[in-house]
Amino acid sequence: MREQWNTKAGFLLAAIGSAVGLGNIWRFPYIAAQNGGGAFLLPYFFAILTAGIPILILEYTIGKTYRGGAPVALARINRKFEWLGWAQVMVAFMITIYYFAIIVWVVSYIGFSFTQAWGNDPTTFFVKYLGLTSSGTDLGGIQTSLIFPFLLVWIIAAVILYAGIKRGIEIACKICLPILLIMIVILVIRGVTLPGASDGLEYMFRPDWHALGDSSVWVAAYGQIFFSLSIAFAIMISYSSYLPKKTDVVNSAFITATANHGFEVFAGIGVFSIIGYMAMQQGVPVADVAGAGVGLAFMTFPTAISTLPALNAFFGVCFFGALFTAGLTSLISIIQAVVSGMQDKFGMNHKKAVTVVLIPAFLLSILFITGAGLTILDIIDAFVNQIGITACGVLEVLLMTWFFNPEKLRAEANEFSNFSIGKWWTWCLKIVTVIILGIMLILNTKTFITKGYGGYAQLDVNIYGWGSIAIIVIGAVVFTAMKGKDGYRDLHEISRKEVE
Amino acid sequence: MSTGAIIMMIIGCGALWGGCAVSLGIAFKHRNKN
Repeated sequence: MREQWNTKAGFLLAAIGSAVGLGNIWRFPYIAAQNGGGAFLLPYFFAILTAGIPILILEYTIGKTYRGGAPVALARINRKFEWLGWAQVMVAFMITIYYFAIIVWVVSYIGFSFTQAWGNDPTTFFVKYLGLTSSGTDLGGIQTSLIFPFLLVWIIAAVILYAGIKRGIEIACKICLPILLIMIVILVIRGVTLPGASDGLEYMFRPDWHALGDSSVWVAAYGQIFFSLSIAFAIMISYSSYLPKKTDVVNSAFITATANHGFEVFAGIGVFSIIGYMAMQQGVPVADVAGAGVGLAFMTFPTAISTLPALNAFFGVCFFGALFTAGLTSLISIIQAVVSGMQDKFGMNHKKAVTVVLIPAFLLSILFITGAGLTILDIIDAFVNQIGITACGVLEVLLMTWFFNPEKLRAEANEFSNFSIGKWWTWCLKIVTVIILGIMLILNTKTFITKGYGGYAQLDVNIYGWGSIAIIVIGAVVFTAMKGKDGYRDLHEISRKEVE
Repeated sequence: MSTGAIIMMIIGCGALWGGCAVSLGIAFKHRNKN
């Protein structure tokens, strides 16, 4: 008997917890500011309705109806689609090994917040803390200061995953999400009451309507929606496979998407109001200090925390605590996507599948606490996201809408829904999503081929960037070719009724 | 802060959280069915 979520609310919290990750806090505000400010919301809303929610409905329907991790669920639709499920699982595995490292840094920075250990120069502090080497091939040894937080994060993740869906992931998300929300509310209230906050918010929300004529702004909006929702790398198919059959997947997709995107807009208000205050204190324009990603979290924001008038440690813990809870709920969902893939194909029990996934992930993630960790992470993250996830997304939508009957999937989505989706859903996926994701994939691949990435040495880009893409492809081929448990080979013959 | 920025900030938060509230309301209304 397949394990199920204890409650629908538990599933929704886990799905929202997966979607709300580090990118919601450190990526969205800057992307919005750089792509038309307030005007960016127009393509952003359009992308939510034409791509984000339709793909979520698609993945929830696949998972709930065909009841398996991505490889098995897709194989049950058509045996020839299994490789795509494994490609998605391999993408999730690659993300697992580097995502750990970021949470390890976050845990350290929660500790550093108490004394603002980064001092007056957080950038130099961060570089020294990581023992950063000059290239990805110069590992520089394991950084001993990272070993304790590294083990701590691994233990927390392992405890949650071994406890299973109901007693592990569901409970962890029920604890983490309210904490995350409280911390972000505290940061927003503190942020908007600071002098200079309006400058930061003006920078983020000032509408530049001319930007809407720029196609790259629309691609950026679709990219933000696509990368923010944990879609196309096996997570949502895996999570929804643990739903009771009579669950409304359509409304669940609307709840997940609106909560996730509502959160990132709200968090952006907190982040940019504090950045605005910092810019005012330093007497520089907001544009000079605004940023995204690792730089924002570990270099810019520590500076902002140090400049706050009071309770610096408290607000530091709130910011890094928010990153930790957002990151942890996303991390366990990514690993669970791999676990359910292994469990379903090879007929393992849950604990054995967790062990089989965690041991290689643990060993490989050691690479990211060496001096080359940040360099390797940056390259793999770019390639796995921009090429790996985008390719998996466009292939998934292409296969489901052009090589399978999307109307059958729509009927399955509507079967227990509180409100039905019309043909707009099919056409959004079949035309809009395929074209936009296809363009994104072509542009990203072309850029990586012609310009490399991030100014890194071509050797590093080849080893870690193209190497990770090669591992995903090889892994997908090998796992597809491997013999599964008895009866697995005949899954294409299993009718939907038998699957239920 | 300009009026345009304030309006867009309110629309951004209001539309998304409003949409979430409506979806949750629908789910709550049909809770027994599911």
